Amino acid sequence: MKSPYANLPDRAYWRTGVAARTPLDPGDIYTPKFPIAPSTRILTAGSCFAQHVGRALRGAGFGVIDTEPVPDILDDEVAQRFGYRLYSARYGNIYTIRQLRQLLAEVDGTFTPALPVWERDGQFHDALRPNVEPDGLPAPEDVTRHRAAHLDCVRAAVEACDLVVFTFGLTEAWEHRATGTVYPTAPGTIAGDYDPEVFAFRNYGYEAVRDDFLAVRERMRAANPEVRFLVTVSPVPLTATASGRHVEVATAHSKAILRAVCGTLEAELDDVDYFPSYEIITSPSTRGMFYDTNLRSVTAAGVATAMGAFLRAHGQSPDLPPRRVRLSSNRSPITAASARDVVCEDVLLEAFAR
Amino acid sequence: MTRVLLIGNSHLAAFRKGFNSVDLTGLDVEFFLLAGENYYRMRLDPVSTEFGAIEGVRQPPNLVEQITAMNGRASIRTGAFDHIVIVGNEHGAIEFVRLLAENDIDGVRSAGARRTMSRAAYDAFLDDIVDAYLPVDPWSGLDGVQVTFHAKPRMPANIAGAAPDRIFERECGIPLSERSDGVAAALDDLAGRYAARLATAGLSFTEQPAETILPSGFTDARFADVMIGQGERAQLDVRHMNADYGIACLTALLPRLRGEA
Repeated sequence: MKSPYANLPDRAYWRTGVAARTPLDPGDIYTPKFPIAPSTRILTAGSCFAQHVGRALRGAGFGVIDTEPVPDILDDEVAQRFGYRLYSARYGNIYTIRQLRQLLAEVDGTFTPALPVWERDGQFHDALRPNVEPDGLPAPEDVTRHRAAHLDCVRAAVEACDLVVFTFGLTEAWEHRATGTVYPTAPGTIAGDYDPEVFAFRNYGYEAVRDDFLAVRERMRAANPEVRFLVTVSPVPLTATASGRHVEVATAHSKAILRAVCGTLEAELDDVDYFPSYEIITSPSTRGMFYDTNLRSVTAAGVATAMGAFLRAHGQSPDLPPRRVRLSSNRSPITAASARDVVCEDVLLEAFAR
Repeated sequence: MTRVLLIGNSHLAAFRKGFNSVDLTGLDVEFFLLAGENYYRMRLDPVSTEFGAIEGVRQPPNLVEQITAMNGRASIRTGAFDHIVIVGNEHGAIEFVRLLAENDIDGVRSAGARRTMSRAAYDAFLDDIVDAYLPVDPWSGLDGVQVTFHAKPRMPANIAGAAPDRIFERECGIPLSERSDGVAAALDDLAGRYAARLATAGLSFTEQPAETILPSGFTDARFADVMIGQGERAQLDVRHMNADYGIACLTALLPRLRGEA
């Protein structure tokens, strides 16, 4: 009797591929569709888990683009407090692919966001990246001026890149009702005011997410026809949902859509690869050990395991080298082993939770 | 007689060149120096107060030989001096100048740079740069010894003459010299913050005297006519200063060294 399941490799069976493996070694869970050379110019963007991806790539010596750099000597924590050294430009977390699509249209001048400046305590924030200036700026015109310069930097990153690494984070978002402008945070969370007549909750479905990605891909290919994409899904659950569902159900819904879109893209498009960081962190083999005590944040060990699997698959050492420091400096080298907080607007949402 | 020790790297050369032209009556001055990156490998032993190649401290294999070749000994007992001046001290100007050159900074400088930076980010970054350049050695633990850090010279106004391989000067110095608005005040700000941080540890910091600095914030080119190389291969040295600079610095330091300031 013949069976199509006979004589498959170990990775094809749950018992040998998952149950029998050690949590810290995801084994051959990922086989790259295409290699990434050290000379590849990489643009990183996405939800807060994407910060880990970018950091691992930079640490391993990949050519991650940074069009808004600050001096090497600066401490990561200080730079990242102002949105520097997180992504290829200073756009902060981009939780939805709709937001990235919108950003590229804004760069091209084909889209102007509605209500782009939000106020809090007399200071003014960029509504499309409200966390990059934690204390805001003194005047709305300052926000506009800074954003114009930032968009130039985004354009430079887009035009320079060979590979886009994007981490899908959420399907839930808040939009301006009249124009469809999507914001990374709900109005009234970091700045601005929530007015239900002006803003609406959206929960993007499969088609919307897929269409948005394809639009982003088209725009990126216009800049570089050879550009490729590496997509991941953030394993970080929703901090809160406005969908009316239980947050765990809403998280499963959101991640399922994002994962399904990634699966389709990876299967249908030669220029799109999928890295299973989501599976590595959420696998039953880990018994939840890669989540912090809040059962939401990914631990340093989880990040190291996921990114180690990625780097090994691409022939790189997961033992990240320390950042170069000057001999005359008193600054200690930063080691890869140190767990670092990612900058998440989510902590503010959490503060609003009762 | 006040015993003074001048410690430094290649920037100490200007002091040495001007040394004999300054009236140092009442001062007994010694030098202790090393050029290149190994200068930063010299350490201070807080117990013996020896500075240089210190036993028990990991160091490159040729450090002892290099220091001895230059000074006749591998270390010097700093506790034997009344005043120590550490010349050519890095206080973060390299990183800071790059920041200034690449950004328009709210309230600091607007020169048409491609990127903008808020005042809040600038303040945080400036403090962090200063923090990174505080001395690693326990100089404040030397009993009865005054320690002054003397800044590395500012970039010269003739920086446009920098050789093609001087990447930093060409990328940052020349653009800043061409549009220098805000640069002088910003460099003063950096120096002021560094001095304030050292003061909390009982240490002093000083920059080159005002007469060597142009309103643009750059060093007057007449102090920077040093050439390196010979004949047709001679190039302007845009990093080191001449004897007149050394004279100006030593003269400005005299009241401090004599305890008059």
